[in-house]
Amino acid sequence: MNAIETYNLSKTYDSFFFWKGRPALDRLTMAVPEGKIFGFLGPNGAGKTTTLKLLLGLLHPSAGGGRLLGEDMGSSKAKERLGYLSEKPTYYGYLKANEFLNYYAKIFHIGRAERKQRIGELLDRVGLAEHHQSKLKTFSHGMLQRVGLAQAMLNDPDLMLLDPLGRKQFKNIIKQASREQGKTVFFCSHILADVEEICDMVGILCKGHLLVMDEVHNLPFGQKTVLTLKQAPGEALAAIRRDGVDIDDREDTTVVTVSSGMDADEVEQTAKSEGAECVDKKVERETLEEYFVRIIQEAERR
Amino acid sequence: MTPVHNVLVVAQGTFVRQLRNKILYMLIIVCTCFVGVGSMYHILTLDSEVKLMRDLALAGISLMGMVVAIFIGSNEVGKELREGTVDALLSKPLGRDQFLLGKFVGTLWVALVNIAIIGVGFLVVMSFYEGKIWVDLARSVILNVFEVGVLVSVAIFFTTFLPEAVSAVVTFLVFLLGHGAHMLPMISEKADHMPTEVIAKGLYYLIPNFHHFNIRAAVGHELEVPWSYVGFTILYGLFYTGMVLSLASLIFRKREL
Repeated sequence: MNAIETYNLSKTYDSFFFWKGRPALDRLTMAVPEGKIFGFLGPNGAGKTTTLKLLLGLLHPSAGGGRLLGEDMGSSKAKERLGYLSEKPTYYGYLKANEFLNYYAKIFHIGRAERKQRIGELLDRVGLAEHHQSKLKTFSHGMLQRVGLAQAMLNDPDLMLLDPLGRKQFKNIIKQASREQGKTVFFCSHILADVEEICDMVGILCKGHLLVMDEVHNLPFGQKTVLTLKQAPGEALAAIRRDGVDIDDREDTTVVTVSSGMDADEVEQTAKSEGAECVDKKVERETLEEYFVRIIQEAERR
Repeated sequence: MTPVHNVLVVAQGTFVRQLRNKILYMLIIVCTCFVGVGSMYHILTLDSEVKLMRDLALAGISLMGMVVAIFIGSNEVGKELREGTVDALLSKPLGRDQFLLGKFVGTLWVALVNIAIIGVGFLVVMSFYEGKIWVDLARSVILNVFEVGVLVSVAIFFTTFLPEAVSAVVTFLVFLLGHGAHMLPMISEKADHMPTEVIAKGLYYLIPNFHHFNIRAAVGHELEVPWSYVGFTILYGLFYTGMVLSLASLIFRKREL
């Protein structure tokens, strides 16, 4: 069964009174199976937060629809089984951490004794046990994110929607939730190394369009060529500098990474003709980050 | 998840937030002081300090109710929308209607507690003077509570589509117009221009008639206001509040968060 299903989900914001602007999300159709960790990637303004808000019913779709855990997106039945961490974790500054979690836990009809126990466990899990009596207004952004993650797990959700995620500690919690408890995690992140490490599936969104969605090991990663140059003069580096060629100038050597789809031999020859000496040449698989940058650049050129 | 439970959770959250609002305590202290220093009123008046104290206490209760209704009513929903705290709250199994109703009940709860503090203080002081508690004063306070209810619903209605500061100003204008609503038919009749007549008539039917809730002058002159009048006015208040909250709920359901 799919934890998340959307069909032609679209959102266009009114830009001026009833004038329609550019679609923030354009006919998004996707399915995330239960129990998977899904990384939703895209540059700023790609439509990731819009998608999450549509799934939660905070925004109304311009067209299309979707289901969460078999229930209509945005419905109370779906919300009973999901947890959400927002992009900007703004909570009630006047409340202490345990009071804040207690407030939210009451909405889930969790009994007093269970509430107390669960809140204690969650604060401990996110590393805020010592701060349970501190007011949220004294919390740093990172601490607010952590208390935000705790509130997203109050109801022991089957589906977690997290936007965004950038802490190492969260990585372990997510892995544990999915691998040991079979939860589905749908999250947005800018740290692609983490995404590659923990995700089963990824979706890449650009300007409201879903470019790719697949299991991480099925993604069509390209091959990159890594050249190690010695005594490369400035003219040589200037001659090979272009989009798709990454130059890392170190003390004795210069490491040049030529992206998939570019002619590495031509780059090597150019460098050599300008006086550089190539001491090593390796062909490696692209990382998720390199793949992401490449397909976003291709999409933006179209 | 019962809707009533959710409404009460939000109401309690609202109440707790306002309990930590220092401005509110200042207002209570100021209003209670007016009543508390009743023994000095004879300096200002000649043998009518009781009437002055009664008028001031009722005015204090009315003022407190108005301030709570307009400022807290506008601020509660507006601040949640502005700061984005509403996103996390509404990602829980909490309906938008339940959220609005919870804010309404919570704000009214704050107003009731404030009115009760001033009211009890006033009754204690008065019992020292006259050794009795006036039922007429109770009638006035009851009607004031329902007036606050209408005003809170109006403030919440405006915050569903206006920024909180604008909502507070517009609600205050409604409050002023509502207290002069009984004069609108007269203005309409005497109007020389068609637009004035139509606007005055339209406003008369549209805005809440707060004049009905104001029996302070009658109480001040120790006139007996019949319970039937109080009952009908309460029904009017409940009907108006229900209508305004339903409309607010319709708008809020459509709102993008």
